Amino acid sequence: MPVFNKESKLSDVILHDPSVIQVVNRFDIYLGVGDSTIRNACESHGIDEDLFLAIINTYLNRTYIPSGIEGKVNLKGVLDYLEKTDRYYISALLPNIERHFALLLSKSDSDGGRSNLFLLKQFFLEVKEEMSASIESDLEFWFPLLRQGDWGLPEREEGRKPYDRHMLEEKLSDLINFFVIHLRGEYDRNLCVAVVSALATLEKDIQQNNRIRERILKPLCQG
Amino acid sequence: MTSLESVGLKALLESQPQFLGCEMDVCIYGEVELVGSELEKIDFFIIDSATFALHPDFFVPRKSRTVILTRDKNKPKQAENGKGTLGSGIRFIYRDSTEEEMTEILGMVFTEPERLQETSGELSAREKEVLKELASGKTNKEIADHLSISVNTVITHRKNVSSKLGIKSVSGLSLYALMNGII
Repeated sequence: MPVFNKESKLSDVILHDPSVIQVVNRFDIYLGVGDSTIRNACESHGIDEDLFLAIINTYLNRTYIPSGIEGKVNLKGVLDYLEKTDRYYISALLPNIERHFALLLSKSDSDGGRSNLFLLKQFFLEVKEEMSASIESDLEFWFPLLRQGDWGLPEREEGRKPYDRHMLEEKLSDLINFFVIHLRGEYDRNLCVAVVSALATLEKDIQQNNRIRERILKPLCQG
Repeated sequence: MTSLESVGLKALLESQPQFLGCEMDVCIYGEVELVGSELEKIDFFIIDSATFALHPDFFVPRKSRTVILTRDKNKPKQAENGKGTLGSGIRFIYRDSTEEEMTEILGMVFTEPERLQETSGELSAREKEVLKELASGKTNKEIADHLSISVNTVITHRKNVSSKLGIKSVSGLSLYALMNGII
């Protein structure tokens, strides 16, 4: 897995793994990047290059651990990125999955298919509720606290820490496994693919952003 | 199998940390009466050859989970090479074996891939029981108390259930139990 640097072409980064499009979007960079390098793109959008590289490389590379980020990557930039990520889940990804689920249920009209899918929808709603609560905790409590420079995170007991989202990963993984392994009855295959794909996209994005919370946010908060 | 042999084998199992870690339900014939649905909850059987001969229909399908205690004078040829097994796949321990030899054979039975493969499909009766308790909201400790097993055994069963179903969270396991009529 390559580690990208300031001279890497942004188009190469995106072509390497198109799922990174949603990451660059969170920096207000959109498709049609031409042949600009990361350095050029960051300069023209007023983005801190070190922050951008730390996030892109951590997102894409399972084994990458950014070194020496304290004093080099600013916390505000990381929080801005994570806040946009949270808002994207709430405004786009979760409603998208829910829409696909509703369509799937309406098109899967046999009793066997519907009963199994109905329970899976209930499970999804439980995941959604938990995720919404976690995001609300980020946006209303943790992020404002960190923006004020309150570094007391490790000692605080109230609420889940902003870098502790592994239960969500587990439940999303379970939901996908239910579809892949345990789905029963008649159902609309195309819509089922749409639901599973949307769930997998969300799961992957959460996993990759959990790495950013664990390897960038956490050291900055505890540094 | 005499009572003394049964007690001796039990003491051997209890004295070996690697067996304690397995957290399996082991039936040593003579210690437990082989009747009813309780049999389905047993992970391993250590029996004498006469018991095997009397109940081949029961033990042959469970051969990878069965060890036969036999007299040394009837050692089969295959066993003399030190592997302690017959061509049929059934393992033997011998009354004149050393403690180390018995431990080695039992360890092989407890961990061999064939047994793991055999148990990798559907949930066992005991695993379903643990799943049912879990889905009803009980903690590991409460499940252990209710089923009269150790907390470690409950944890082992939970790991096996999760591994077989591909489901880890309690919510997911409860949903599976509901979908499949376990609760």
